Amino acid sequence: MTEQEARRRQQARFERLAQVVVEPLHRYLLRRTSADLAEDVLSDTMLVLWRRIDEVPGFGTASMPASASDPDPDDVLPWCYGVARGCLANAGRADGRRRRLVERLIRTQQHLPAVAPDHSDLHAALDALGALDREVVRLWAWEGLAPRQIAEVTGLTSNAVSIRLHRAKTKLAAQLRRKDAGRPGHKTDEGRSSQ
Amino acid sequence: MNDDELLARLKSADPALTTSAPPPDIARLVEATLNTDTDTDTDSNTDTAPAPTTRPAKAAAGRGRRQLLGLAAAAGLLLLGGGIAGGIMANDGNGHPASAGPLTLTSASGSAGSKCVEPTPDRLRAYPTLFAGTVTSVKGAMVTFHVDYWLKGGGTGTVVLDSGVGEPERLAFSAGERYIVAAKDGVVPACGANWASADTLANFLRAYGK
Repeated sequence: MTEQEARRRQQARFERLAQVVVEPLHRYLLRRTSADLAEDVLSDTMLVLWRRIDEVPGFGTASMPASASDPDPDDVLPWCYGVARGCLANAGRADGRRRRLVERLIRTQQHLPAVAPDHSDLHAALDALGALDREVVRLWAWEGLAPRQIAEVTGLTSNAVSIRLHRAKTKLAAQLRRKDAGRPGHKTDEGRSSQ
Repeated sequence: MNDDELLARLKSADPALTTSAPPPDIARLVEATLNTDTDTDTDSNTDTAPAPTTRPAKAAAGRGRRQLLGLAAAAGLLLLGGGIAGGIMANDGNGHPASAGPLTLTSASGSAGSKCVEPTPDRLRAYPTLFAGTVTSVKGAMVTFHVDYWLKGGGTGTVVLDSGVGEPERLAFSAGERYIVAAKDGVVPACGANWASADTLANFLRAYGK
């Protein structure tokens, strides 16, 4: 009886967590893999979150809930991104080569002029970064995380994140400048106005 | 290019902005997760370890949870059954089929599940109490049998089975139908009560020399 009750309580907690994290997690995965794989990995991620729900930082535990209200995304999301990152890596290990091919195809598709005319340079510049640097930059720009939170996702220290982020941004900017300079017919508003 | 410009440029290239993927269905995802997971406690230490390529497998998960419930119920009933068992064994011991009140059995959950395989004499031989009986009445969880044949053990012509763990889905007994019921220590085990066709009954009667 009490066991059943406890499980129901946990389920309610999980639902509240899901309301907050599912959409950001889905976006996180869409930014890094195909839509199909994103969906699969999202399922995996939710399963891990359910099993480890008492470990989610800022969400309390079953016996001592942080609060009855919805969890704060800033508190819970970085940790959840970390889980999704691990699940994505797992899925990648499972069929890495196929996935990379799919990713490349997708990216090629995204680079078609009709879809995103200006972003191929950027993606190329991102690809030129090391995997971890790239992840740090993406977490900063797309997930909008602070270095402290990026540290939580990646397992680096905040300090290491700040250093990596700084270097990666410099490298990225240089790369883009070079690309822009090398293509006079494709002049952008570099250095003059902000987009 | 300063920080803000770089950020703006990165943001405008965010693949999530241009994706054609439909947004996730949170309710469905939650349900699928809860149904997939059968054991919340195991596996919680391995970092980011999803169950081996588990995709929501509703049926399997439901079964798992029911088994858990069944186990809990069985544990409780075992305790209950203990007292009754004493009574039955006393009957067997002194060789006097009790003429006082009907034999009362309780059932482990799922004892009359429709998913049980057809009973065979061999499978049920281990049970000290075994009879073929016709259901005379079903009142809530209380099922009354008129015993047609005692195959093992013995007792009155009437047996009352408390089949209830408060779960109506388990009440698969219908009045007028014949069942073969096995019990040990006053408890009918899972798949211990089965509807019996005429063939099955004949089979049992032959096997037990009745």
